[in-house]
Amino acid sequence: MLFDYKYSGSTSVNNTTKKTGISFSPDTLREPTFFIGKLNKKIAFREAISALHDVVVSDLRFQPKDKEAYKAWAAEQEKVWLSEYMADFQIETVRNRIQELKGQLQSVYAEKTRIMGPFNKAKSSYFDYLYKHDKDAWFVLDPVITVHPDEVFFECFSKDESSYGKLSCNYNVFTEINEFKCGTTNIDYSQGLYNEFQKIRDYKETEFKIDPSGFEAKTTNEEVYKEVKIDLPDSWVRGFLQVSSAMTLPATVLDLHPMDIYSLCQYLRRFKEKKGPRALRFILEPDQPIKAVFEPWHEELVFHRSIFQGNTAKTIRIWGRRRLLILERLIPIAKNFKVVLLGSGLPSFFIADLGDMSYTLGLSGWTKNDWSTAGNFDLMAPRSNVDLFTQEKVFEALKINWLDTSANLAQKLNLDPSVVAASLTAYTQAGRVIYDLNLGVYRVRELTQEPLDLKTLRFASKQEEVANQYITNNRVKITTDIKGETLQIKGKVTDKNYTFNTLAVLDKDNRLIEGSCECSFYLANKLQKGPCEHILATRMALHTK
Amino acid sequence: MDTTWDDTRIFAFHFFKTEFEASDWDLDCLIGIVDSVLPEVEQFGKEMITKYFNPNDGIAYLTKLSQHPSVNIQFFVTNYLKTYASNNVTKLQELDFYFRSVLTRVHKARVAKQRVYQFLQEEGRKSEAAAVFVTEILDDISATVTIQDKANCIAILTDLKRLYPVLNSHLILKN
Repeated sequence: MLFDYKYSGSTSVNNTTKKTGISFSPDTLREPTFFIGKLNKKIAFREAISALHDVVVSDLRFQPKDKEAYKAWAAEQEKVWLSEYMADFQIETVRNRIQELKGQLQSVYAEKTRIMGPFNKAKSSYFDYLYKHDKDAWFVLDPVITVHPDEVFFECFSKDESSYGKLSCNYNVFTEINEFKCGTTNIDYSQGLYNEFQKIRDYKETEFKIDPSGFEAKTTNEEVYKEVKIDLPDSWVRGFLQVSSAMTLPATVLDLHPMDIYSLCQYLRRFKEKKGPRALRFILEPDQPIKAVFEPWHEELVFHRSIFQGNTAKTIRIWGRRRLLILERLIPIAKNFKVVLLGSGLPSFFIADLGDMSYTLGLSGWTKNDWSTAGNFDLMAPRSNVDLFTQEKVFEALKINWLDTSANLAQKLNLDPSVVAASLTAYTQAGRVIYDLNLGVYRVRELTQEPLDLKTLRFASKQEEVANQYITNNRVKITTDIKGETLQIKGKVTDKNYTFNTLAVLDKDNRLIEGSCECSFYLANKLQKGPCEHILATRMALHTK
Repeated sequence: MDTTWDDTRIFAFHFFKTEFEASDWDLDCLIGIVDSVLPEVEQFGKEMITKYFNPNDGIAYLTKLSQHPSVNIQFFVTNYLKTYASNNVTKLQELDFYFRSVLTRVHKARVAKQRVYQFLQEEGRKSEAAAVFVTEILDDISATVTIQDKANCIAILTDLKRLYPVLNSHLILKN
């Protein structure tokens, strides 16, 4: 998916000992959106925006070690070892010859290092330089900024397609708001900016501006515009939409004291698990302190100041817990953390209450976004059958005020609240509306200028799409069985004229680790190209059962 | 100094160390150097502040540096706490973010934490207003699971509550 941006100049932060000026450069291809004000809560804003940066650069995917150098050394060494071994069988003269040659070889190597040394050093410092200066290429999509009548909010999504961050600032965070125009735009963002943010201080006057000047017609000096083309992987956009549409699902809500988050982070910093399961288990009982259990040690933390207010006891497991470390910087400034859990293996949200700001960290079900977790729960599935005309009517009504609750809209349009909620959910899945978990309102937020093609984004692969049809047509029958540390799901998937016997094996982290089927796709590829539609359907059937 | 070229920076360090004198530096300039995000420059700034420290500006240094986000500088600031922030409740209240930030550093800054605990206890004992402020912070921090910190908090809170029984915290004293 290709995205085009056109920025007038770059975002800049001017720092002097007395004053800081933050000027964001918006995308001029989109509807003009701007904002000019002065920051009021400076330190809190600094900490919060830095935590948002941590989301942008967060990449917790497994990074394999670079073993090139070792392999080259081992190949050389192998010859030496081999000759030494052979020498044991040889007569004295040969042994001496080897010794002599070895000595010569050594001096050749020494000479080589001496001559090549400066070159190698320069080469590695050049790579270091590239690494440092190409850092901007790491940011997949520049953060999205939205100006609304009651607040300004920033959103971003991490490179590993798993963490979503949103920082909303209401207008008390600013003083002397000059002018603003509501809308959504992308802003030019770079690593240098993060460094400049660190210099925000209370005693410096700090101006905050989403620069409107770029929208003025500038025909004489076109060169100040910077055009950026970004090719985004479909899976990234899909992940973003999945996490944001998860916000509209019914959920378990609990409140945590800031020090509870501290305790979670402290535990994660102290210990690192070597093998799974790696879940964080929330044990919730009505009117009892919330407990968190770290697997695989089953170490229990009890949060005495946080009492669960729900009515039913439940246990919810979430994965990718190391992403919680993003919240570290918010602990001293947060008053409270609201945790929204959708269920085991589903996205979770941590909302920090920072007074006039609120920071939402959304985590997808797992850090790794691959087929082993596919088919867990279809977040992008249409959840209603509201006709397109009504949907559009609801969206147009929401656009008038930029934000509203579904109950309010239902009253205005004389529609059933469930119809309104369903229409807005559809727009959320399309990335055009966002549900504000903190205030419980829907907000207009067009993620991209051109509406996204939902059909191509709905499923991660063709197999998933077919598997989904098997489920809707009720063509899958399964039996489950626990064997050792795994859950075995045996299935019978009926195609047009054949019934396939399938097997899907889930590990303790709820990941698909093994599978088998009788279809030609499986026989040809095994699991190398991901599971076939039948194995996926078998796994999906577990949730519909 | 804030350049990405190492040799230029090394030259700048050398130049400022040898050619500049106390009269050439002022407070804003020194603070500006420490505010840099490059660790070397930050370190250099610290050295310069220690070298050209003017006791009359002590409070300004304390206030300005306490807002620095780095762990190193927060630790550096603990040196000024006793001299410039004691017996002054308003100053304490200004440093609220600093205290909370140091005490909630996850798995870091042990020495700074110990110093802050000690300082808060000493200040808290001096007046009721200060004790109220200290109790407010430590009451929050005491929800931690870190045994060492929790023990510190409980000890200080008990001490303060014995002195000023009206203090309001989660800690209940029996007998």
